[in-house]
Amino acid sequence: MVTDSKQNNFAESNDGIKSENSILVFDSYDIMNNPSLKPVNISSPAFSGHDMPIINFLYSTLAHADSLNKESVEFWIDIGPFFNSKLNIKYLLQYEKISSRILKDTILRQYCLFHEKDFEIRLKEKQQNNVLDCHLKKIFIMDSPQP
Amino acid sequence: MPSDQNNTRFESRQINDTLNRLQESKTSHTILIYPNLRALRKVYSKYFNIEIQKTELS
Repeated sequence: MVTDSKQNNFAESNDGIKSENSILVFDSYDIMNNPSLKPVNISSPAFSGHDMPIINFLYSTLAHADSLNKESVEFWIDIGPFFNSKLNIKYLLQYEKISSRILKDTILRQYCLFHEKDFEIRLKEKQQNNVLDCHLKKIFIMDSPQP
Repeated sequence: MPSDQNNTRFESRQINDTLNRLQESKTSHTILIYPNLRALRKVYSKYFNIEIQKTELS
């Protein structure tokens, strides 16, 4: 998920992709704080027992992919809104745990994008480890200097 | 780079190498830590093969 402002850019530069509805771009903040995303009513235990709009969004995305006969779904989520809203770190940790369970049972692959400073400063070491433990692959992206 | 003494917690990758790793891997749950928005913009641009203007992620 990326910001609203990028949405037009995606649409303008990827007509083919747009027509297949293969890329969905949403504002993470809006989804995480959207109470109108009602809890899903499904039998999968991975999705049950929570009241997190973003989990409901995950399920909706999977259902949409299924309707398009897609074999996989990649979910890119900017974690920043967890730190910049009424949400909190406890909510983030809960989300990471729940989504890990979901990922085991679905065609979904998730990429959680953390700004280095958010990760270092906002999370205590134990919380950092808890977040890392939820992920099977952990990559720090090194940026090369501008030419 | 995350300041932990324990940098072995992460793979440190240049952007192109990061993309190669993601495309090779079928790992279901990946954490990507980026140092700045410029790096994030490059990852998005290259992975999705799109142009993202600087102002859109600033």
